[in-house]
Amino acid sequence: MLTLLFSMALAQDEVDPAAGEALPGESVVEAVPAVTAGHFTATLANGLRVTVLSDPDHKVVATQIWVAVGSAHEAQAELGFAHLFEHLMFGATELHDKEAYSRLHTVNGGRENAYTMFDNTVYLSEIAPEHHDALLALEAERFSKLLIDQDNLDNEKKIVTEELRISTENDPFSRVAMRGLAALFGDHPYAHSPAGTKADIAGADLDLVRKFYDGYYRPENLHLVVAGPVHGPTTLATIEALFGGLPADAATPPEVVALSAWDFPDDRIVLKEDLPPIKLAAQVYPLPAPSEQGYWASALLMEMVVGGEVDLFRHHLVEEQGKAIEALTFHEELEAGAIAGFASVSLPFRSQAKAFKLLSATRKHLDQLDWATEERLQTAKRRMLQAELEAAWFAEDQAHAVGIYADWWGDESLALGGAAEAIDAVTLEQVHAAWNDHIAGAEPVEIFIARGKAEEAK
Amino acid sequence: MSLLLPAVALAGWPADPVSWEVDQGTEVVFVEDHRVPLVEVRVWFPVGSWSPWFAENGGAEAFEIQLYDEDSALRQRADELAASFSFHVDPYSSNLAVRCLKEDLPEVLELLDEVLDNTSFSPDELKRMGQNRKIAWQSSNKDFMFKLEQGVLFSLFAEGDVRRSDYEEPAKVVKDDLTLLSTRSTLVRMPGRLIGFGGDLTRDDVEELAADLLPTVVSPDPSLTLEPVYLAPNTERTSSEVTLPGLTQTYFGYHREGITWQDPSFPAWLVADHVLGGHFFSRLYVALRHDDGDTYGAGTRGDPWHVPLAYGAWTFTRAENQASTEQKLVETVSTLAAEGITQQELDEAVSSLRGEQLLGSQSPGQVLDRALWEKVHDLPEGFRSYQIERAGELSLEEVNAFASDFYAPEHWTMLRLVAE
Repeated sequence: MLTLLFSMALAQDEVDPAAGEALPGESVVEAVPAVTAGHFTATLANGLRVTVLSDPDHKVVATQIWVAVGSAHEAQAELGFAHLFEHLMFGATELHDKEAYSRLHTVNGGRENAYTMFDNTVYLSEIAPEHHDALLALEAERFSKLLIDQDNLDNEKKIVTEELRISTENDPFSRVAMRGLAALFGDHPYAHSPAGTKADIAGADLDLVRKFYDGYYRPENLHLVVAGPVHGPTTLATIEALFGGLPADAATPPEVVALSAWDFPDDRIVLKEDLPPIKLAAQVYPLPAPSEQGYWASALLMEMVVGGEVDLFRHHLVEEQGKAIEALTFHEELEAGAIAGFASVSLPFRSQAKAFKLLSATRKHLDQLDWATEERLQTAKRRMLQAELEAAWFAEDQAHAVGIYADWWGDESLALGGAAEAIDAVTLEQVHAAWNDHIAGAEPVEIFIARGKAEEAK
Repeated sequence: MSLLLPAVALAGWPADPVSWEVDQGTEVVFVEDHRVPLVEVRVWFPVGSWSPWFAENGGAEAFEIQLYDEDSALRQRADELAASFSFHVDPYSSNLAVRCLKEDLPEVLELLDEVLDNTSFSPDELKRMGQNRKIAWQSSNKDFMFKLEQGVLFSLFAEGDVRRSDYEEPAKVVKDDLTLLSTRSTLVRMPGRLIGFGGDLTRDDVEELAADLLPTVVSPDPSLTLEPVYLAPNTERTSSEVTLPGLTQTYFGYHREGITWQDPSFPAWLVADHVLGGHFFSRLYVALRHDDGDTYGAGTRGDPWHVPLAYGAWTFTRAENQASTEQKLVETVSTLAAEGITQQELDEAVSSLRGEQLLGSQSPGQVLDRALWEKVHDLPEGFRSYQIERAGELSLEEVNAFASDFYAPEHWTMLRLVAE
């Protein structure tokens, strides 16, 4: 049923069933041209991957460049560089001043932005279709002819430092989150925030920054995704003309160790911060990465437990037992694995030991799996399907889906109905197994956060 | 009243909104979009948190508790239908939103009817609502942006003015069932209700679905104080400081009263505001970020409203850089008053404002919410588009005449948030 609904929604899209793979050194355009909608992919001779989702029902064109480098790939001397570089990419090029890229968007009512994650840096544009060729020309330019000089670097270092002050240093919730991240992941590359630290940014010099750009910002590390009312073959040809000359020879980002193979701390992590008078106790479990077996079952598992109006964890701990004033759950997906967390929020009288005992009791209650019914699985599937369908309303969401499924799962057809099929294929037995393997049978990492001075942290 | 033409020719989905009356007191807005089998439903009631009657009689809790019955049956039913419900109280309206697959819509609407008819509010959830309200207030008092906005509003508006209310310590949650039920009953029967449908439906579908969705309209007791209370603004304003412990930056709110929707200067304000702080290379961004790296962000805040709210130019910088940044912020605003904008800035601002409308018209939910928002505030359909088109007709002299008065230093006051 899920697959049927999804294929109804994407009925206009045609994916070439005979699409081949590019041979080394050869440009291959893999596409079935369509009069209206279509899905076109190409790998240029220099290694740049290109996807065009041509969709006449969109009003704007979303263009995203996914760089396969994020904070998790930074060497010790490069910490914070992925984020700093995201800023520098809005600077001047050999042909245009630093205002040109934003100006194209502003004057035409478009929107430009970028963000840095652990696993990727992503550059975003939304603009009316008549300005898309001009946008592509500016994109090609900044990915090949960016000017990086000392003045520009110094100014961006000041700007990023102000960003760090406002986003973490002056916000107690962000401060404790950053310290929690560091304690949870230890020596894993996910331990340091994509934003970097003030010390990291202060250490960035021109040579190191240029080396980062010259090594990583190369076509083999890029995926250019376009979604919107554009003519697919023409857009591919434009991209090949503009980006085909970018020099190859990228540095390969280092592998990030899968969380399933990571040795998380055994001891409870205790943090204090200038928070309101509450205590937070959390149990954290690693879950499979997108590319690992069991990913879809674990995603559905989380949707079944906490995804609906009745969050089963909250329902037991807070509503039935009355043992916390609130419950929090988080499910953070990263390329090398996901993290699921179950937390209680208590008033100050609750002891640390008691808070964790109550959390474990709720976990044990859920271990009985009487909630894991076929009915609940089906409704969880239908909620996840809705999220997939909603992407059809926004060109930006479609481009994002292509980018993330291609980069993290290695399969962009998931954005074209494949995810709905994968969700539909999950069985109740697989969900039971996911709970037993990753939650019931696992030792969680425990994190306790209370009000107090940050320096008192143990 | 529909006096406008859309500024941008919009092809394909979502369609333009259409509306009609269900009864004398209920209007339907429909936005058709057949791209995916999803449906958005909205029910907006025309009274919100700034109404004295609503605030005194637990309107927010009466509205937001509705999905929480004592045995969780309503939420479980929502989950069985894979439907998501959300309740939100605005200053002028109380809004319910639902999203579901098209095939589930009839049953979801039956559930919506049961939710609006729920008479067994969970006492435990009401208690938690009270605790959470208290914790949220304590958290807000550690939030620099909240403190800055609070300082600005307290500087502009007198005690007792509803425009301060979102920044004052919240009242205790009303837990008395009879009061809550009475408040909810009055609210959902008030004339001025709006029903919205967006997505994979036809007008025939919506006419049938909307016909009996809500209980019969009943005019409220005329003695109820429904309208917000606005007092005369403070006249004596001086530069001032508020503090928060441990800050490493200073936050600036250079401010004055904003304009109203009815103000004939609205189109000129749209242009001048865009030039000053509306984009990444606005004058504030250039002066404070791109030129010297004083800050990460700068801009303007404060849209027009029924009555003037706060309007300001804001930024932040490291504490040791406070004096020079403040000077640049003030000079940037003052220069706009003294020298005005250029013809190129005017042309580009209008082009930008016109183009932005595409981004806000991509999904049926976006179009539906904008149409409902215009109706609940008694604005004509396509109000913003109309004002943008009027901006396109302004001469440079007209924009600069507005800017020379509105941005003149004598109308502006500085509020600094500094480390305690």
